[in-house]
Amino acid sequence: MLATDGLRAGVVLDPPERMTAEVVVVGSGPAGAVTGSVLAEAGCDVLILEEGPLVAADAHALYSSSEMEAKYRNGGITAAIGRPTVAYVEGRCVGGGAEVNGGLWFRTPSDVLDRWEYEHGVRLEGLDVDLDQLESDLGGVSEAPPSPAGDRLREGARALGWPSFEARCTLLREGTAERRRGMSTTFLPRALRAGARLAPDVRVSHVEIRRNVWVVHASLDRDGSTRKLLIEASTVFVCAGAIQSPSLLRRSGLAPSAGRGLMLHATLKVVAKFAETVNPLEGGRTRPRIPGAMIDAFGPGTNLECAVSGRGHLALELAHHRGGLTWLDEVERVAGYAARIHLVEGSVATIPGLRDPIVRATWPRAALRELSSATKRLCRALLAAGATEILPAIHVDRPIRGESDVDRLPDKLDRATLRPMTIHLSSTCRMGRPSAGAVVDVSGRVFGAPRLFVSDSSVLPTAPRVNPQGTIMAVARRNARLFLEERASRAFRSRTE
Amino acid sequence: MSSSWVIRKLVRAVLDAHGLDTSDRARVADVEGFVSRQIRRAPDAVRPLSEVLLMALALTPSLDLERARAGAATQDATRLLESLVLYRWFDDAGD
Repeated sequence: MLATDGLRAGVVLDPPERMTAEVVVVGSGPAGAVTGSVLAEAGCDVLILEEGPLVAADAHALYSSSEMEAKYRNGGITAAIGRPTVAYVEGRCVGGGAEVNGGLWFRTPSDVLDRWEYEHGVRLEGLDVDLDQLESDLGGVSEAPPSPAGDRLREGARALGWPSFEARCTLLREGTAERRRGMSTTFLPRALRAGARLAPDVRVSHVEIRRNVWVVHASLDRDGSTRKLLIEASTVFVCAGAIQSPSLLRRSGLAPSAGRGLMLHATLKVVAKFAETVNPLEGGRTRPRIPGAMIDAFGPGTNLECAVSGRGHLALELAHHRGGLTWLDEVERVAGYAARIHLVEGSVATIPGLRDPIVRATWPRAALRELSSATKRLCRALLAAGATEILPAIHVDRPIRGESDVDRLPDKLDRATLRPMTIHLSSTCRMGRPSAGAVVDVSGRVFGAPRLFVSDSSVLPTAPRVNPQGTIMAVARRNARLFLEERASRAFRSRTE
Repeated sequence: MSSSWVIRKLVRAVLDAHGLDTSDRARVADVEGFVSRQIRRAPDAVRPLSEVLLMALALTPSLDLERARAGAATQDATRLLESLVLYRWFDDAGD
């Protein structure tokens, strides 16, 4: 069975020039898919628009360069410009980011929820119920399968007396094989079974309200040709992610503060070599995956974790060190890890005439110090686990082989030689008080725009410091649920008046 | 848009700089195709600049990758180029 089989019934490959729907959902990633399924199952007439193509979930090997070409925005060449520039990736296909990520699953930490309430006035009542339901709907969330690379990280943590844990994930295990439980095999088929329609390759340029009806201006971009579409809807949910959602609002002349306050988890990769196998091969090939082992022992600022250890991914890091690529000759003894901090901010700006927004990253000095501290701790854990040599994604004269080499790493990383990346972006259309620059209220409604919602990572008041997918999906589910409650009470009022 | 000779020269320069065996023409051509497609996909704000810098790099009589990596103007484009070439060259995920 093809992974797209569950989507065939409601996919609109050749949409007419004019369409109507009660609710248009812009984006089919984790937030859009959940929103679409919750609303469709409650009887709403839902049309989901996805800018990217429909790609079978199993059409490409996990984390391969062909998957990058097929499923990532701009082929994966996206960056938040700054000193240093931060490389990031966004999914751009039916199912969005959940079709390309590692499926790690975290509930929103309670200290993060407390901070959102006390600092931003955002109290997300009932979010736990939504998280419970999502975990059930996904068919279970379990500990990520153990791996030698993850085991080494946890051994290092144990040796140093640092607590570590195995993150949970949504991967589906079939024997030794693993498949993503992406949106194209879970919530999108549910939405379509409930009557929703899904139009891939449709990019929304802007939205406007005319006579109390939202008009969505879009285009079908496929095989090099473009055709304009006009869609009328009573309600619009924008679920296009932390970069695209504020861009759409700004292109529509809405929400002047959309795009400010971008938050990202900045990540520095580290490659370690061990005396024994940590990256077992299958048929002579690496098997890229993201082990769930993590060290979260240094307060809310720092995570130490595993990274994808495919041969190509390792080459990206090793190439910057003289002789580094020779490590690939014994790739089964080499694994990638990452130090992650949460102090980097930025903005998303829309420039007339440019299709893609400009994303900027701002690095306070504290972030350079924090990332250095996190990198040193990661190196110490790996040395304690038996790593013989370590190469971090900064300039070093020679591989790190012992504590004295770790001590020699700078306390503040050099902007010029730092090569960070991120996959977690958020907070560009924050929930909260309008007087504090928030774009949406606590249920995702855009201030000053009736029946226009934003419901994705952009509404999170801050970066949630853990993998955000669970939080994003729960917030989207909560917003959809609150919308339905209000819709029901509106219907009741109109029946009784 | 970067012409094919620019991509060819730059891909070869990166592979040579890392001492990689380029005798497998099909593999080299696959990398050239990948780099060319990816550069075309780069965001609006990055693509023209990258193309100009890559063209400038390619026009350098003796392309010194080490200097290009360190140059303030050429650093980002060089990193992008090297990343694309090496990721595809070593990608063994196999589809």
